[in-house]
Amino acid sequence: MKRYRWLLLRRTSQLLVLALFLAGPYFDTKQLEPPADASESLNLSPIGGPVAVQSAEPAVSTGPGLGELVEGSLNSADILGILPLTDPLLFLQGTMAAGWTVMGKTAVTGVLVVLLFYLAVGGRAYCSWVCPVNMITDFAHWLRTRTGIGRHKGRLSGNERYLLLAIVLVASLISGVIAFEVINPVSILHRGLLYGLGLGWAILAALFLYDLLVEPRGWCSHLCPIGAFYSLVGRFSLVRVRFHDERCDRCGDCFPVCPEPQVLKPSISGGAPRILSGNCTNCGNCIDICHADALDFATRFRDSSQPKRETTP
Amino acid sequence: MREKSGRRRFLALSLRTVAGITIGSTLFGIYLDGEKAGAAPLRPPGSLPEEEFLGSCLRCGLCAKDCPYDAIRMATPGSGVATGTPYIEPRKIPCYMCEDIPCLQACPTGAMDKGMKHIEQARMGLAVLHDQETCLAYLGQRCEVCYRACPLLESAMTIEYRPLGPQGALFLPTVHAEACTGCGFCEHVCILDEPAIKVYDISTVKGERGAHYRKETGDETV
Repeated sequence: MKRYRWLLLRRTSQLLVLALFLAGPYFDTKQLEPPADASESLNLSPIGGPVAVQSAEPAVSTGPGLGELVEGSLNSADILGILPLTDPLLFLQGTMAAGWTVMGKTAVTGVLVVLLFYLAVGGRAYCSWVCPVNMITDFAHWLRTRTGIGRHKGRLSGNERYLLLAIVLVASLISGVIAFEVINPVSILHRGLLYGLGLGWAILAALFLYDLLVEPRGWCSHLCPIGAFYSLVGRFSLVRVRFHDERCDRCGDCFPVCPEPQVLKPSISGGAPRILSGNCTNCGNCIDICHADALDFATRFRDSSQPKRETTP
Repeated sequence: MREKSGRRRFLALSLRTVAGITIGSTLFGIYLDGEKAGAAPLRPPGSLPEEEFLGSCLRCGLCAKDCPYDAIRMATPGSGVATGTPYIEPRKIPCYMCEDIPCLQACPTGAMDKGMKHIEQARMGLAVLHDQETCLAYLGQRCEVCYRACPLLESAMTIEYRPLGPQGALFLPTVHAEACTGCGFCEHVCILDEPAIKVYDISTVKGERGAHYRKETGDETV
């Protein structure tokens, strides 16, 4: 079980986030059904008298039910009707497209809450602990390694995502439309589970096939602008993977399981006591696989007890 | 071959990046600009004009979640409405014009105008009785179903009496743009298979006189 400890926690977290949002529609406290057909909603009052259509007001709900725990979606949400949450990249695009003032106070508060949270737990913890698309792309990667489909190496460097990040921001500025939302697979999937997917399944299927057949870990580790944004946040975030240099026997098992293997290099080959790259998703795959217990979670600050590696000339 | 210097490589990379961003965002931007073209769908009450709405709506669904009647739908890819944005299809479920406007209260941004205090101020669209060839009232029957369903009876909608000589008269449902909120009850209840009255994007159907025109005859200022 220890072998899959962080993976199981991660899946639990991802599913829990989904469940909290899905609780809304499923435990909905809406009590008034819309009229089933036209005749029911017809007002049969004498002509000339102004009539209110809502003769039956929806019953007043008694306190927040399970449906009001978390409302909205990953784009913007509301916890218990008190705490707003807003996707910072979305907010940034909106600011580009419509201006700062239109966004408003609630959205700004929501962005600050989200930014503070990910500054604490690791920028791309969003990718590995929250984002529902991660389950699709992880499945594609698992299938890829299991079946040996597309054993070729990837062609992308991983810097393409920053280009895409810049493009969605500039495109928002040019067009006045929040650009990425047209194709954003994360919100299409998340909203799809809440309100219906429509043709969104095609975008998700394309993403899955791309990761399976074309580029290994193509979307999440190379292209996704949300990941790019959180990578920038991750450069400053508190929780990071700690590396115990003296315990590591350089077996290299952590590299193939890591979605961003380049982040391990400074530690495994250079002895850096923390994995500080913003690309690290804090997924814990490396911690799970390490047989020497050389990796665990800690804060980004070096602890005094940790021995410093002797620098080789 | 001379090896490229670090500076030259850096310059080349910067140039490629800038070119990539410029080309990518221009093409994407032009495509997105097309999203704004054509008639806007019916947005929830208080929504900004379509141009500004697409830049400020976070596509989060909080308005839809708080609509007690599930009138607000969230657009999916391929639905013809900008992906993830809320819209109303009155033929299915019209806007019930709640007095407390919960959808607007739920909106986390200014995409829905918080300055709108009364639901009667909403201008989601404008109802137009567009088909006089199928509308039963125009065929001489006293249908008036749309008129009776109008939440703003006698202000947004009236029955205009048009005598037809000795045969009788037509009793014609008539929409008044100065009061119609575009809630869509008329479209919802029209008893035809395809409604003869529908709510349209205001800019699609509303004419506008030039500023130099005088006001209509009968106006005291003329």
